[in-house]
Amino acid sequence: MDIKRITTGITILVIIVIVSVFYTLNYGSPLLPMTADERALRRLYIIRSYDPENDLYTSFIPAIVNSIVWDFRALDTYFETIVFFTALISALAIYHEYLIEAKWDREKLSPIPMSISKLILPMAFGISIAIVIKSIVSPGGGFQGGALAALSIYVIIYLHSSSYLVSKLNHNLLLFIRSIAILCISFLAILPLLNIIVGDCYGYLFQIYSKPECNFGALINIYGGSVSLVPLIYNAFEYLAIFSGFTLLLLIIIIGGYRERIS
Amino acid sequence: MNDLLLNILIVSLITNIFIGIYGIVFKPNIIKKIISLTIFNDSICVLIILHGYLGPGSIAPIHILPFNTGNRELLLSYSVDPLPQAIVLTAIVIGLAFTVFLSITALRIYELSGSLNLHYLLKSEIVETVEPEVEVMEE
Amino acid sequence: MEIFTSHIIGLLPLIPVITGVLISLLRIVVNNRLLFNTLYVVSTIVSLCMGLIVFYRVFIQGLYGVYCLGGWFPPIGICLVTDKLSAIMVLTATVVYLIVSIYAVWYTRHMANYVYFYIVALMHEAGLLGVFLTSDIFNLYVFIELAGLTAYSLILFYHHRLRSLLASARYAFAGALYTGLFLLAIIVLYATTGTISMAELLVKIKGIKLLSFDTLLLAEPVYLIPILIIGLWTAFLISALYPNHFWLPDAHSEAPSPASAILSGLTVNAGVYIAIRLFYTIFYGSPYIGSLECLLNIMIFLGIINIFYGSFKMAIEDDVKRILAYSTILNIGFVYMGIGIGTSLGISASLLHLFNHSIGKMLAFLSLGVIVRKYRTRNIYALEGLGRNYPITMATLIVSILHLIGVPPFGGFFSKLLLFQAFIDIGGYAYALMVIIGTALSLYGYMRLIELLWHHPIHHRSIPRESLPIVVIVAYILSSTIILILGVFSQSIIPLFNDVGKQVVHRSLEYVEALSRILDKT
Repeated sequence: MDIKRITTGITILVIIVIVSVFYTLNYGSPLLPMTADERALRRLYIIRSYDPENDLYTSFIPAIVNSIVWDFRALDTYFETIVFFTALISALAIYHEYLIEAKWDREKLSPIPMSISKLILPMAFGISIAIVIKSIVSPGGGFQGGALAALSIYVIIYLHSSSYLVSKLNHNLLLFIRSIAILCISFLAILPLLNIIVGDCYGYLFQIYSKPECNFGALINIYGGSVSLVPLIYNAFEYLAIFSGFTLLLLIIIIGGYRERIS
Repeated sequence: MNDLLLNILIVSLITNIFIGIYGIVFKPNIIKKIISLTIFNDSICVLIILHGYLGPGSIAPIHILPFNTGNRELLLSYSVDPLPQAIVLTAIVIGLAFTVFLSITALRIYELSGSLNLHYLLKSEIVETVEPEVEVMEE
Repeated sequence: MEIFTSHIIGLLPLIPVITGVLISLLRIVVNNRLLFNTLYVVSTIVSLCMGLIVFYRVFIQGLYGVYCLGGWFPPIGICLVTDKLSAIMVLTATVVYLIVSIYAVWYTRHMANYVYFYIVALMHEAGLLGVFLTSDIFNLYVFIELAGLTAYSLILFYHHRLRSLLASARYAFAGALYTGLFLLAIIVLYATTGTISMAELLVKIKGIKLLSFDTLLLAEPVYLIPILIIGLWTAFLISALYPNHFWLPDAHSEAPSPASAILSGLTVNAGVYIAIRLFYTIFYGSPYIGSLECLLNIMIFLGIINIFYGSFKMAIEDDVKRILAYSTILNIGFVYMGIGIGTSLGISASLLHLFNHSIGKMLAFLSLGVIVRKYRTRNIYALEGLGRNYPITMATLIVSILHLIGVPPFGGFFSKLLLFQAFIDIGGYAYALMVIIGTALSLYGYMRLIELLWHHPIHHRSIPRESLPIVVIVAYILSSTIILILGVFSQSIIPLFNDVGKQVVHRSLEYVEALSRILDKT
């Protein structure tokens, strides 16, 4: 910690306080518009997300943020998953041949961390699955659960060794799980279109529950009310996709970073 | 007093954003650029969530089951705006995808040239264009 | 004005994505090259058919396409809307993608990671189609990031060369920075107006009393000006207007040739589309901002700088693909000069020029790619005279370059003529003169390229020994036919573009009327 950095930090802090005090004394209102209580869209989201009386135009998901993410603006979530998928595909495009010919030998750590990890890691996995299952009534969802599960895999490196990890994981299997998970999400998105086979109308893409034009969807009755079932399935597939994606990324970084410099 | 604290928060987040921009533009090391990009994206995400805030006494936007209208009236008056939170969920994942892509590119640049100094590499490239170029393809 | 709802609009961004994921799945199970080629080409053919159906219904039948995903109506849901601007952009994208995919099947023959090229190219197509179709600003941000990330990946497919990686890293950092600022601008827009759906934004910002909309702004309208400027700044990065052009020459020349064709032909279109959408459909004529004349003048001025910068640098470059990259900068300068005029004829001239440029630049990159691939060098002096071994390829290259310059039987002439007429209509004689001077200056750069490739070298005789595979000939025939149609049938094509211009500038309200029947009120 040298004195120059401490001085810079304290100067910035002092400038921040002075600027904000000056702004408050002169203008009184916040710097960026804080208008949340006047927005009609907020009331619309709260009403439309769980409205058992008007059960033709509501999405039965009590956690409002999850209902926005998986029902109202499902296209955003789907394409964000696709962006993450594409980042991994471009990583694979560079390191594909390294993954095929990877050979490894390193040493292990002591047995005490290894046995502790045998207790803690299954708990971490269990918590991640619990985050996914409770996603309808509490904040969370497929992405958070998948990230937590992947983090517990990252911890294995410090406890066992990279060689243990590399020998246990197969990059083809991870890519297979990931592609199957995203294909299943896409299939669920297109499934309302196939409603014509069992019903008499075409649903909309990404539809989760009934709309005035077409009935499609399923409800289950838990926690004292009816809750929509399809977001649970979306979340489960997202969990698989994100978990296998992060693990594949870990594999690429370990193997890609070990090669000697080519010049 | 409330306004003062809110202003301090907003000004410090904007300062964070400027620190991130400074890091991306002026620091030559590519790993420091990636870290500054993360700082930049995450500060913007915090600023976005702040826009949903209603004031002291706000509650979380979750319907409590079993459903009754009193709970809904409470939510309509006091819950925060859920849309910025949904936007931030998407924006964080997209920022993460960018970090993944840039890290892999940095790894490959280090492997090929042994240096992580992006400014030096970009400048020294100018000398090469005078030589005839040969496209290397895997064949 | 009627609307049509069809699942085809909803499936347009989804079909390339599903094909991409399917290819990545099948690569693990089988390793059959014919299967992947077929999947890739069939997917682009399906997208072209859907684009043609949408084009027919929007232009010939005069309908508006509206498709709301999940059945939720705006402002709580996302809708995909096709008006004439979107329909013409979608048609350009699907046509160029089909021809490039037919060519790429041959070009990636010896690349070890050709499967990943197909997947990334398909995702890029999905991103571009999403940009052109969506009617929600945050969804626009997500699609811009998808199109951008896939563009950065397409550049570094030759990953044994340091220069591709550096070009991609430079573009990626700039893109991430600017789109991060765009996200901040979206949120301030949401805080100021209370909505992020483009139809409601239009009504609130332009202050129009329409049916049961409330046109109140929730905060001071002073926040609107920085939002517009940041949005346009991001659009200028994607389409390489003057201060944001620094990434283009390296990036477009280091990419493999099919990727260069896609990037030069389509990704810059996305930037122009975003600029027109933000400026004309949402912000133009707003009572809160006053006159936007200075922004229009800035666009014309930056366009002129692009023209001169592009034509000067094109004349002194040694690298064949960099010459074409600078010509992209030149043509984008013409397009922005047309947008900056402010009349409907200006918009139609610039959109016609954009369409001509996409087809012409694609054919130029494809034919140049054959020569560069066979002789494995991009230096123009090393390739001197070697074009004589490839007479068919040189013929298509000459056709595409004459089309880009603007020589009469080909379509490029009519777009420059329309641009010239648009400037004369408002009395900007100096700007019209700039158009002519710019074309004349670029003539040297283009002709140098052709002359050095065709010029007979002194020391050895060359015998034509061209052996083009069938897919390349099919790609050549398709694109040359389109160029000839654009030229010969221009009298029936120009009124279509005039319709687009009129709808963008004068009838932007129809965008709201199409959605207002299904709007969600409580």
